Amino acid sequence: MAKEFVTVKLDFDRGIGAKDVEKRYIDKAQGLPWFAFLAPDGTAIVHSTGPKGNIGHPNSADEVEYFKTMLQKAQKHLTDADIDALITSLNAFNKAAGK
Amino acid sequence: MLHILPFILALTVQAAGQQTPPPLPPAQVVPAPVVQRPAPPPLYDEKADAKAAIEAAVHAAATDDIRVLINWGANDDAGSKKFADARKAPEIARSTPSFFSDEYKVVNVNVGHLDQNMDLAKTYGVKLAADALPALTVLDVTGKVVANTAAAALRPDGDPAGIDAPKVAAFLKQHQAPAPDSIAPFEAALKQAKKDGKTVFVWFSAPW
Repeated sequence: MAKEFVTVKLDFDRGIGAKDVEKRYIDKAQGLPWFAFLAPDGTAIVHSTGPKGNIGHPNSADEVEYFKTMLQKAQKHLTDADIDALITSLNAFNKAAGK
Repeated sequence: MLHILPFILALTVQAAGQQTPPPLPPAQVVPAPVVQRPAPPPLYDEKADAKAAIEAAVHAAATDDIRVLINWGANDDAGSKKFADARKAPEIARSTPSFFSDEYKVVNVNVGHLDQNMDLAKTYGVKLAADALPALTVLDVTGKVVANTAAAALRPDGDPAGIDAPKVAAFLKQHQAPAPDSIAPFEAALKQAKKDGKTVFVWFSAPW
């Protein structure tokens, strides 16, 4: 992931200004976790609210598939093989966690 | 219509015989099965590696930007039991966010009869005494001591043996981690992404 992303985690409940940052990208409050991929100028490339709602931590096949399309939309440095490996890793994690 | 035919026939036969039905047998009281629930584990794990548990809690607290609460006590100590009861009081149990899951990573360290983990307690500046348990230590995300207190400071007025839930709540509130700034790290991430030609992955979550 570090090949493609600079990651920043914000505490939605306690973080000063966190709700304002989220409002820049979506009007209605979403469940947590919620995330977005942003261009360096701050514009949203894609966020975790897909056609069926916020995928949160992607668990189901639909959610994992949507997460894959998110990665593909943001893809600059990741190869297709990298994305496949990430998805395989995510599925393995979910399986181990019993999700 | 055919499916109700047996029911109609049965009614017809009963009406033709005009017999009083036999009395029902007395109801039998079947005792509910006794469910043997395992006893909850003791609050203070007497076999735990307390040093490792504290280190793990500091690591976990750093992830969520919260603090660590070390509760030094013993399973057979009256004050430690009263502290456990105080945790169930509304001032603490209904706090939002929850002190004991959202604001602090809690480590319960067994001190036995002041013969367990005493050296570890000393490294955090904790002075333990038999009539002053439990003692509480708050650590920040680097493992540095933020505050220490003992049962004596948490007594209800006029009660030399109790633990006052509002005083515990006030202590926890006073020393919980300050609300983190979200704007500065967000702006820093955008700046770093511009420099490195990368994308920002902004993730909103909460300690719970």
